Amino acid sequence: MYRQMLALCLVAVVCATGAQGSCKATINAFSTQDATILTQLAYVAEFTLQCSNSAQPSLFAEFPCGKVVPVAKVGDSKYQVSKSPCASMSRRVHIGCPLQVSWVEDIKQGSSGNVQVRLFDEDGYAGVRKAQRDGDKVSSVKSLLDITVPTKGAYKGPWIKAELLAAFLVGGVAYFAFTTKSKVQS
Amino acid sequence: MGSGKQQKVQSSGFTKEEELLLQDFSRNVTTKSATIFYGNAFIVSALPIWLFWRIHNMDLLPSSILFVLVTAASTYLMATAYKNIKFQLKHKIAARREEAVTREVNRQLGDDKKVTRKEKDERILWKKNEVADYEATTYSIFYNNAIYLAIIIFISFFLLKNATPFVNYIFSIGIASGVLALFSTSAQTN
Repeated sequence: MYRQMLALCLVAVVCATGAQGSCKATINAFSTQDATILTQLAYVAEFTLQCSNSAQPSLFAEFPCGKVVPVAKVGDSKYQVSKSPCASMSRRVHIGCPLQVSWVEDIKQGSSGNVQVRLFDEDGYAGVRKAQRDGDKVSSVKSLLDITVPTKGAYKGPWIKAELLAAFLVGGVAYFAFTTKSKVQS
Repeated sequence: MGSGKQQKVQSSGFTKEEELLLQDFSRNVTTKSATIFYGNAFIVSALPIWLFWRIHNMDLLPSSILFVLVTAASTYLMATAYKNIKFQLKHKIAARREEAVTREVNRQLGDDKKVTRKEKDERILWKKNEVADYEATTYSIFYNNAIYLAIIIFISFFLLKNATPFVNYIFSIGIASGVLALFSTSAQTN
């Protein structure tokens, strides 16, 4: 009897582990590289999820600012999420199926470095919603997977404008010429 | 008569010494100096064409007539400025270099007893004139070019940056060369 009970418990544990699955993500990150004539920056993280139980769950992403958004599925095991839903939503684009949502950031708020994104499946998202309703910390809800999205800073133009530098150089030479002429004529 | 150095020049009626003095105090430039002045003036006047073509995005062929006319006018004005500034500086430079030139000529001719005192003085005068002429020429070119380019960059990139390239080109080149030519004609007070 005890052996049967133990066997049942082991099976239950294995099933639970299988249902959770251990998932790995391969990430491709894209971001605006040249911001010289732009007013906002765009970031996109496309990742391929591989779970041990071959599950392809519906996912939700939590950003560092605390907002949780759905993750668009753009292919078999391929997901895409746009960074920073913390800014105002700018547009919604349909790319076949599923629906894709894009957000952008102001150039002044743009940053570079690694952004931690927590992924939740449907059960995890339900836990997040419950924590939000109860006023608890969302960070206490266990995520399915945490991914790190590398972002690069965008080029915002040179530190010193070329015409200003040229004006200073030529102005210096002209000043030297003028003062030397004054000395000769004095 | 004598060594011929005192002979009057038949064509002009002046002695060599008098000719040197006239040349020293004359605004006229030699052919060689004129060639140098106009050549430099043309080069420095043509430089902004590249600036306006590549930076201010003026089309080269449609604006070619404008480029030619403005460059020609600027060349004339810059050459005038070169000439006037050279004349202003020449005497001052000659006064500054007189001592060094005298020392140099005396060192070269010091032991030569065939050279008379008068010949030595003429040679010093000639050498001083030549040195001052060369130095005043090069300094005039340097001074005018520096001021010209500074004015063009200031006007075209800061004052008229919102104007059309056409207007920008005419006014920046015109003002730069015009101001230099105008101020070069001012009388110097000692």
